[in-house]
Amino acid sequence: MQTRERLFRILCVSCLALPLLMLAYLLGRLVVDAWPRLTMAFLTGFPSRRAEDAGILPGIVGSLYLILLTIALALPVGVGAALYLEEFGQRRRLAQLIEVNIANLAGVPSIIYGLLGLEVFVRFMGLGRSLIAGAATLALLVLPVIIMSTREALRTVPDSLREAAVGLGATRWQVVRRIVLPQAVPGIMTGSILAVSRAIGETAPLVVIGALTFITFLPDGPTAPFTALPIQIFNWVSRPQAAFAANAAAGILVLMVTLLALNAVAIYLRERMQRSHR
Amino acid sequence: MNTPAANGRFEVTDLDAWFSKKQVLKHVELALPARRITAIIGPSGCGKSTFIRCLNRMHELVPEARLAGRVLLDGADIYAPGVDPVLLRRRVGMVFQKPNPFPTMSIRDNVLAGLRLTGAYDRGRADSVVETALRGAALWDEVKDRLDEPGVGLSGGQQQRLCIARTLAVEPEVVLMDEPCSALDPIATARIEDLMSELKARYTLVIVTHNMQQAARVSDRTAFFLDGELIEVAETNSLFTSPQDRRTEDYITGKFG
Repeated sequence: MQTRERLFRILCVSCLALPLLMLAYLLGRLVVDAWPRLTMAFLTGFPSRRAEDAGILPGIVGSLYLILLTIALALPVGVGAALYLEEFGQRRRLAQLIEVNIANLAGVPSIIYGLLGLEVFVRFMGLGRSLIAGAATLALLVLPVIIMSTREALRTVPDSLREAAVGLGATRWQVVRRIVLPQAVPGIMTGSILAVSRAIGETAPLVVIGALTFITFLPDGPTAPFTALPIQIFNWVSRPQAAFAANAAAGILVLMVTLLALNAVAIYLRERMQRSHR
Repeated sequence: MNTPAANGRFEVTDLDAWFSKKQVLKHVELALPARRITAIIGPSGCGKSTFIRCLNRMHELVPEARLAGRVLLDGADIYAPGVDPVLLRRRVGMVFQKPNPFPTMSIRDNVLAGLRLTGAYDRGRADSVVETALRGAALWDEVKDRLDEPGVGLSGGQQQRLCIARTLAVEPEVVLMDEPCSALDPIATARIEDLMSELKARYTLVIVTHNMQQAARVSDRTAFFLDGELIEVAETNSLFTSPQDRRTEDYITGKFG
């Protein structure tokens, strides 16, 4: 019995160690490759034909704009849809049908969303290869995940609180606005942070809708053409010259740090909100 | 102020209620006099809770719940078309089995929750509303120095009195209590029972309880439910000392339930 117990523990620890070691190796190689290129000139420069002159500023700015626009588009719609399904939807059958479809949508490959975005936003709505078209496409991509995690968060609010509020003479909307939403916000934020983080690393849908890889200016509005960090990295990786590989490594590091920083801000905001409710 | 006529009198006629196909109330006829305490007793699943949920129209919030019959509050049918259940619930408050203060709110905000939720909040009156309601629920002296602390930090009995204060702050005419002491210890229960006797001077009280001693201690009238039917209703004293129906006698003497 004792040996079995110990064997099981060793097995579990090695399961944890394997991915950690691989991750450490990858990160180590990445930092070694990226380090020489991580200069101020790289962070504030524009793309160039010569690898050593190339910078990544348009990618950083483009990605930040994309994040903000994606959140602005996806969060209200996603939370609204989840509220309808959880709090207002009376017709069980319909809600179930929608639920199955949303779960399926979450599993659709991102490139399909890219094609949809190309057809609907870029061509049909005439938005062109713009920031707003890219953000709308990413918003579609994260919408199912936001809806599902919001519903999950809403379900953790005990019914006894809804009953208490209804018993005091609150309308459905007042119950949602004053009681349910404040309780569910931390959960909603956690789900949305994860969803949006994934979207920011997405390359395929942006390639499909035609984000540019070589722009020497910063986008001046939502309808401007744009590039984004993953697009820039993708472009550098596909160049034959070795010097561009170092640029790609540096770009990946920038993308990772950007993501981690954004997540940290979001988590900080969430914790603060949670505490103010206690 | 003119002396208010005793408002908050219920008359229930031929009330049936269902959860999908299961009938949980059958032809209930019951009058609930104003400013008195009526206790509803009976074994689990006899329809006690459903009955009082029909009085503030919370029964209909459950999907696939239905009801038929007439429920008159001061002579007016609360199920008539055009009656807003939301407005009705401000006249007919409810206290639940488990204390359920709003966890994101302070003691003070919990008391004001009903007014805030419904937009009847008036900043100038807030302090006096809070004090009156907390005094009414016999909680003021225990919490007056920590009104800004979270409501969920109180003991179970205090939380339940906070919930009663929250209900009183909306100024209802009727207060329904659904086994308000079943999650509390004997001391907390005794305090709430004392409180009920004070409250009946101003409100019509309807208390669901599975504790017969409690019904005998606090109520003026007692109604005995069994399998969705009202078996017997009488002055509490006479119901417990000389029940007219065999089943009532069996239940109060502990032969079943």
